[in-house]
Amino acid sequence: MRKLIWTLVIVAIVAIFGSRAWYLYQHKETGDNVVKIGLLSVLSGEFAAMGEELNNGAILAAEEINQEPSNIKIKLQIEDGKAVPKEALSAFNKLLFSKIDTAIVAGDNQILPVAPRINAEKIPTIVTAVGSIGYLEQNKDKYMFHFSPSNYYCSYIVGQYAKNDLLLNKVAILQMDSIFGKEGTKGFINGYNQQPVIIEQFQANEEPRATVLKVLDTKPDGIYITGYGPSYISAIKRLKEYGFEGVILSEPAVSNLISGFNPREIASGNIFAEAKDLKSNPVFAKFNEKYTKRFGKSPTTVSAQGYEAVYMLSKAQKQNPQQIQVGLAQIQEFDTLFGKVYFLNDGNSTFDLAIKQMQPDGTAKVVKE
Amino acid sequence: MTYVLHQLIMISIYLILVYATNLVTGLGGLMTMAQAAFYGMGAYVYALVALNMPVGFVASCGISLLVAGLVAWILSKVVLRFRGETFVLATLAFQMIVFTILDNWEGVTGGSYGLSEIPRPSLFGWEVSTVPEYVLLSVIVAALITGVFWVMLNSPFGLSVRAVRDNERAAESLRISPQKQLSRAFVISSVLASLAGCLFASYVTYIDPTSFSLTESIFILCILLVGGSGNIIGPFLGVLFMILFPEGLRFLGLPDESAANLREIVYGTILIVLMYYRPNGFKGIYSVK
Repeated sequence: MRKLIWTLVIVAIVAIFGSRAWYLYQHKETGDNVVKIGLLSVLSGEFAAMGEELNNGAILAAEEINQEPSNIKIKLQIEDGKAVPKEALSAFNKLLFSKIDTAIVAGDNQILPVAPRINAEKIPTIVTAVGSIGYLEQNKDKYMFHFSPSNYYCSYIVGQYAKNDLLLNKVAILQMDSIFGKEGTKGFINGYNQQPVIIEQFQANEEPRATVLKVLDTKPDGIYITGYGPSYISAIKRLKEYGFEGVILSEPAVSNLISGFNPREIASGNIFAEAKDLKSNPVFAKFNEKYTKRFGKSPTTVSAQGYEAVYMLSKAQKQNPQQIQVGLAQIQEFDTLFGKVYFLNDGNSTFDLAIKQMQPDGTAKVVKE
Repeated sequence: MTYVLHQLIMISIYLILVYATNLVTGLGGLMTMAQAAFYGMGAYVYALVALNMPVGFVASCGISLLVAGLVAWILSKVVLRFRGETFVLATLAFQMIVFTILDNWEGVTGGSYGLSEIPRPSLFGWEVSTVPEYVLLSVIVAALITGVFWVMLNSPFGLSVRAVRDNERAAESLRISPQKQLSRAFVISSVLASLAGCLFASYVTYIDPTSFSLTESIFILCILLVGGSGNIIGPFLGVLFMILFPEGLRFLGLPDESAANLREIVYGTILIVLMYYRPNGFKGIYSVK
């Protein structure tokens, strides 16, 4: 009897999931004007905060486009890749199963395993919120388009500024253990053109108190801190808490109101590189207002990337309704919340960046263009 | 369709991993936390050989299995001095060491960047380049390993490892050397885990340390516990459940904003309920302490 019950339970579960899968497979929302965008995001694990910001930006853009009188309608499908290669691959295969027309992929650990699938299935894809552009080496058929301010380049110009303008001689580096953090360190050292006094790593899910104290022991005149998320914010908090009086050089993320982070109190004085006219841009102010109204919190750079990625795909669809890839390749210049973005032949993009300093009132002032 | 085929490949790879763990945990009664370390070692050695030496798939796998076997043999001299919780801690420490090496030895392993563009297998002129071809390869390998495990289960070796598990003293009185038998089981288990690593690396074509973390070791162990250890059917049921169920939850049609978190909650709840009603797993004959 027990065996029979267990068998029935298993058969019922399989039948429920199977029929749902079959329904989704058969009922694709089709039509010439419906663009189905698969968003491979990170919704659980250490980088979930970033994924949520990205999704919100993309959802807002899709809602706006769908309200426009134009013919194009966006159907957004979001899957969680957990920033783990096997999960990312599985989630991307699920998106392919749902017959997406095009995709947005976020995160270094996600784009690298799915890049061969993008090429094999010929899915035009915008890659965003990544630290490294290493995947572009696999972009042989030009199906991947990089849309993310390069952490390497942002850090490179901050390094140059530290050396040539601030004349810092003894810089220490606090780096989050991730591709994003490592790209930042590489860029900074190359721009600074000198070895730092110390490089210390902290984990994405740790309270970096001890690491910060170790770095402060070297008595640097400047600390470059690279990373993202709660532990990164915590490291900046600790530097201020322990009375560090030197210059804090940081990431564009410092200008964001990310979870639990109030730049007015914490990041005031920090030097970082960011898109030149991000906050002063009136379009950004409007986006900020709409986003805050919809999600009850301020947007971040990552939200803006998700938002713009959807708009870019809809523009590509308008330019070439039959082949989004061709439409994307035709976009050489795109006016975004980050100012003008220029696309290169290999799929990479460049942004107009400037060195900024956080002010006590929470705004960022351009100190060098 | 690729999505379904992808699940079949993952089922095959995890089946090998779980049979490997079953050898030490189910038959030997020792809860190992180092499976992901050998899985990763297999993947990395395979990738490094395949990327730097044009020796072919079989030779690359061979080198990878050899390295894993050698490391496991040396490790077994140390960790098999311990039993129970101490053994768990010793293997856990090894897992942490391997993960740290993979994450930080950037010049060799690529560190957090991992290794990409790992070549797909080519077997005696057969280029395994498409997903259906890879399904065929992985299912054949998994079937072979299942066969080997089935033979091993009732072989004199399998029986002596089980005897050691049930009563070490009694086994010794029958001239069975617990150290020798457990060491053999540990080495074979590590070699099989590294084979799964080779298959994984050549299929995904990109590997990074996050795929071989402690979480992965725990996941492998969970599959075994849910399915039931010490036999051949349990691991199979465990793999089917633990791989397919979370994927099935993707089809629940939950709202995008909360789907991922809700899925994790549903998954966790079902696991708790399952372990409450089936503490030995679906088909367990030995309860891991």
